[in-house]
Amino acid sequence: MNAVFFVIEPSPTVVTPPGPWQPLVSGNAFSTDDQPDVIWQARLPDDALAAQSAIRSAMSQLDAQEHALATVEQRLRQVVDGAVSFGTTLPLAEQHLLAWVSMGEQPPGGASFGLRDEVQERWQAAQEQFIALSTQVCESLRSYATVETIHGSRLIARTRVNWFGDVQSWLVTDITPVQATLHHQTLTLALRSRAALLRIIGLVGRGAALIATMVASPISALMALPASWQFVQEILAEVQQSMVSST
Amino acid sequence: MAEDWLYFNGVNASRGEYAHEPIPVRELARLILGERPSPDRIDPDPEQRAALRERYLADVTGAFRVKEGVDPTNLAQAGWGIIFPATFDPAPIREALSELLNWRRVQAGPRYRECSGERGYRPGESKAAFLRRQGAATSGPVDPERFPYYLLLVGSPEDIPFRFQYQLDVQYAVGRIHFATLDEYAAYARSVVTAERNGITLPRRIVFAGVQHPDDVATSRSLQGLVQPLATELVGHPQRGEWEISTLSGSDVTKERLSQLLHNEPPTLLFTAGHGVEFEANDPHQLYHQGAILCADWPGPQAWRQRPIPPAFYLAADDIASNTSLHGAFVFQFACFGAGCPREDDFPHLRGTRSVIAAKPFVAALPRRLLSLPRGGALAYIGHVERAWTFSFSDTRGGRQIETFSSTLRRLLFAGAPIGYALEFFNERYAELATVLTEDIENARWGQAIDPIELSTRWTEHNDARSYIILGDPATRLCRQQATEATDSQLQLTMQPSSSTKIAPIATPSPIATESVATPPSSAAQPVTPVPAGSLPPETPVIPVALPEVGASFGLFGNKPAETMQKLSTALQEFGERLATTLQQVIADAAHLEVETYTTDAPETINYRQGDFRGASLRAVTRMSLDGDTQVLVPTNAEGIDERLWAIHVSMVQQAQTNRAEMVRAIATAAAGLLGVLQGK
Repeated sequence: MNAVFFVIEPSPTVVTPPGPWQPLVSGNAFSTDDQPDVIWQARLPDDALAAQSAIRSAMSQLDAQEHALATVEQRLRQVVDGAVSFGTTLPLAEQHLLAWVSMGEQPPGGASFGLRDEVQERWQAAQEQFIALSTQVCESLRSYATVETIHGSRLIARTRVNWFGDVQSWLVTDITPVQATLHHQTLTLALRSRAALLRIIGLVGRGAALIATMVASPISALMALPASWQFVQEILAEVQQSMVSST
Repeated sequence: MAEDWLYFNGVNASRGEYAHEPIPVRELARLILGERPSPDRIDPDPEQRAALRERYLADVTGAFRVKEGVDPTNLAQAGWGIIFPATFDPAPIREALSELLNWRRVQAGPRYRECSGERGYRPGESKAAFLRRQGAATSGPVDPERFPYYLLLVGSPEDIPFRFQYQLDVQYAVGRIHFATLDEYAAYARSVVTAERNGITLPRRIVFAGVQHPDDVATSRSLQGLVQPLATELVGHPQRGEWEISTLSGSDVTKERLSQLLHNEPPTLLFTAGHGVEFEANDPHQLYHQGAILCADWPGPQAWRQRPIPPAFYLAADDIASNTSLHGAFVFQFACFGAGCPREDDFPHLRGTRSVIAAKPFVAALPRRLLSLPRGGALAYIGHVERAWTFSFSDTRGGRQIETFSSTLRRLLFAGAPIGYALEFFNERYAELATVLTEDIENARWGQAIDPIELSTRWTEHNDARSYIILGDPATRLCRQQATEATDSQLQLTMQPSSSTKIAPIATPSPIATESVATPPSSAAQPVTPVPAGSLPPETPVIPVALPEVGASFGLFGNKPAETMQKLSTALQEFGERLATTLQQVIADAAHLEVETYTTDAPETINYRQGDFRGASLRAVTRMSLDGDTQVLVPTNAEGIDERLWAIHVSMVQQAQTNRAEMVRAIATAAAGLLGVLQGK
């Protein structure tokens, strides 16, 4: 059995949190209950070494994505400072951003050659995604996070954390130190991923402010948000790509 | 006359006297040259002498340490590698270091390298032989595509000799770690990664601690010739910026004061200068205390009269409490044996034969301790292997030479370069001195008269410069301060009447201050849409949204810019309000943290969401209040405290504390990031 990490949300997620998580939808009940918990579930193989290895690998994935996120502002600054220009060696994120800026500076109805449509399409998709992300995170801010560790086929521990930091855990009576460590690591992974998702919002905001300075037309950072969001997404995709190609 | 004598930094604590008596420089010159002068006395390896000369020539001509076009401060370009001894299975240590290795792998990309097993360091191997096996050039500028510039050695100097480290350091930026336990390796790895990823909380402060003992020429010189001028130079340096620089000197540098400094008010850089204590090879203290900092408590050689020196006079590894945090700090210790001790004397000329000074070579305990503190250790420790000499900063003719120290510190602290790159100034000096010395000795071999004072000075400086090493990862650098984020994390919740048309601030004040930071200048010319805030509690902050002028055309929006913007701004408005509400609740709840641990046969049967915990036993509780009031329910079993469950619970408490801080930071970062956007900047 391979390890799988699920993030189970009441509504379909638009953005998967950084880390190894795969989205699942639990559905919303028509009741007056509180918002259902977002469940972060690690399903780990029975073999303890394989389970530890899976957690380590998941942590590495998150590390890589967090590191990539830490480079976003610097890369944006390089674009803003004119340190990069169009070229075949330019990463996709920078290429798309420069295309977006270039299109933005042309008056509406200018020469198109199809590029404007493509960029505009991407921009609108990014805008919708970003709005959906804001809603998703907004909803998660209302709910608890429940972190579950399934070792083999057995639920060995469940921890519920609210946004204020209070924690309740239910452990199987005969939990072993190794299993306790596995659950602790799952909890760390989930909470770090949750925080990273939230940070992305701020990062996109700061990125938008930078991008707004690139465009000659008078635009606000608000208008540049989708471009910034797209840039961040493409950098995360780069990490994903490099991890796939290195395995 | 004092100027004609050479003084050593080092006090033998076993005997309670100077480890080495001062000797006249002429006598030293005679010993250096010996009866038959030979460059072997500088380095017996001709390849290494050639490498030193090449390095010196490269430095003279201004050549770079790495090949043209590579930025040595950027790991993605300069590369990073780790070297294990070939003689042992690296798996457990590798596992313990995995956090650091994964972090560096991402940073260095294809220029990341691990050398272990067959590719690891083999006993007795020279630098050239090792590099050849790795497919790297054995001299000249480093090509990181062939072998990385930053190299971390892992293991004791028995496994990878200090000599190999010195040799490799001439060309590369090299550091070493060696700890007794896997936990210490893991703690160090965690410290580095956490500091680089999250920043550090230490203030931008440098403390110079220059010990001075009565009747002691060596420490008088290190204080007056190194510590004081170095501090003065940095204080007046135009790059200093916001760095606070202070000096502890003379009799103020007591063990208590130094200990208090490290435990309660650690600076980002601690620079100490004084004697390192030294022990006889058969003294049981040697392994644990050699290189420890001899403090001003020692009354000097005259008053102490050759009695063994008690631990009360020096700061050693076991004086550092395990709950101390030096997270993100750097320590530079100018002292004998501060970084480590070889098995054999590095200065056979002084005794005529090479003598055994330790049962085995070792890394000093104090740096090991400071690097591996569980709550966050120092990132790197720069110290000296074997004896340190006053000639490093002051020659016998009265000249002062502190530029090597000064440049290193400036590059590390003011320019933010990795420590391995910052310490290149010492390697430059080592290469220069080795080259000039080799020529001197060659000349003496053919009968040319050599000035004994010049020779002694160069020889001493050469040994001194060579033996400074980095303990820790050579790629570590000064990390950004969390203060910026902490500022974010203390979002000021400023009430703004909803009817106001002014820009309402979500200011980011200092963690302590409660007054708002000045609101960024608002663009009064821009139309501002009042925020509908009727559904919010009155104390909820209001984030105003400034829409761009509709007339500001931007081709990508098609024909409906205002509609598009409105949609975005509404979503963000809601998000901002939710963030503010959550943060407000967190702050209101910050005075209290509760962690409960239950056990049950089947966690899946507990109806936890409804608060129905039937079927589960509450085994441990921790309730903490900001006022320090903590209530704890400890789990017990037939034997007493249920240690196993208690350990799990304690880890949950730590996790909860970390998570709360992290969450506040994340919310604040998100809110701060959106602030500019929402304010129409």
